[in-house]
Amino acid sequence: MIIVVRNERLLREEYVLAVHAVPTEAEFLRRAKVRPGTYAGRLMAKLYARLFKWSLELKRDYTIYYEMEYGTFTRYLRKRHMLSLAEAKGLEERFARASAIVRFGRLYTFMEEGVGADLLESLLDLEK
Amino acid sequence: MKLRTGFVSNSSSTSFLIISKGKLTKDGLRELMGVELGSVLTPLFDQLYEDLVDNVKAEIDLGKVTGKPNWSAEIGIRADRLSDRMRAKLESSREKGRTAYFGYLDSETSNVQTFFCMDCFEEENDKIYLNALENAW
Repeated sequence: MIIVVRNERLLREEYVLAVHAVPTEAEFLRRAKVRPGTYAGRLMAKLYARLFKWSLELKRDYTIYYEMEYGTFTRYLRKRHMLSLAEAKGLEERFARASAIVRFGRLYTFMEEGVGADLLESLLDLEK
Repeated sequence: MKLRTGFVSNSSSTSFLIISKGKLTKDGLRELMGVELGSVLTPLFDQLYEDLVDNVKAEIDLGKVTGKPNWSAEIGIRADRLSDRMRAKLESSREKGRTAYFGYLDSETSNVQTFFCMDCFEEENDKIYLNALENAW
């Protein structure tokens, strides 16, 4: 599952995605079919880092810091991340199965207008 | 009165120099950039190829450049803005009979071109040298 959120303040797209299994960086590059150490390899390594090292992992954030305050993952997503009810419920349904639920801002300008969502869907093992 | 709350930015452009063994091709560029067959990034780098080719301002057969060249006149750029390293690259490529392409990308054409215009990089393999580090327009 992948949700595209338009951040009007920062004028960029952000993504919330539920990942079934977090790949290693090497596996991520293999899926992208880019050679490590090349320009394309560095491009994808940076995307990997943004996804799995620097992004906010919502399951962890909720469980450690906000479960007591919000009570349910849906309420946390609605109030803290301003997601719609349908989006929040969809993510809550995937909460147990997903190994990570990640929120991150798009890294590259070329990811706008649907390209980024397509790219991420083809590279990641997302919870359907 | 109108208030703009977003950021305001000027457009950008950046020059590039490519030195190629033979004609620059899509496959050659993909190989240089590390994109394998069937990669999800193929459309991105194919668009870069189109943007580079569309924006070539000078194509020079370096093997035919004789004597002490005036690169500003040969290429039509401010050669004084080229680094010593880039000038040396042009010089050494003359002996090998390589082809040089000079042009520039801008940030107002497409998301893809904007991305590469704003990035700084230099890539090289045994067939192609691509310098997108320096501005010499």
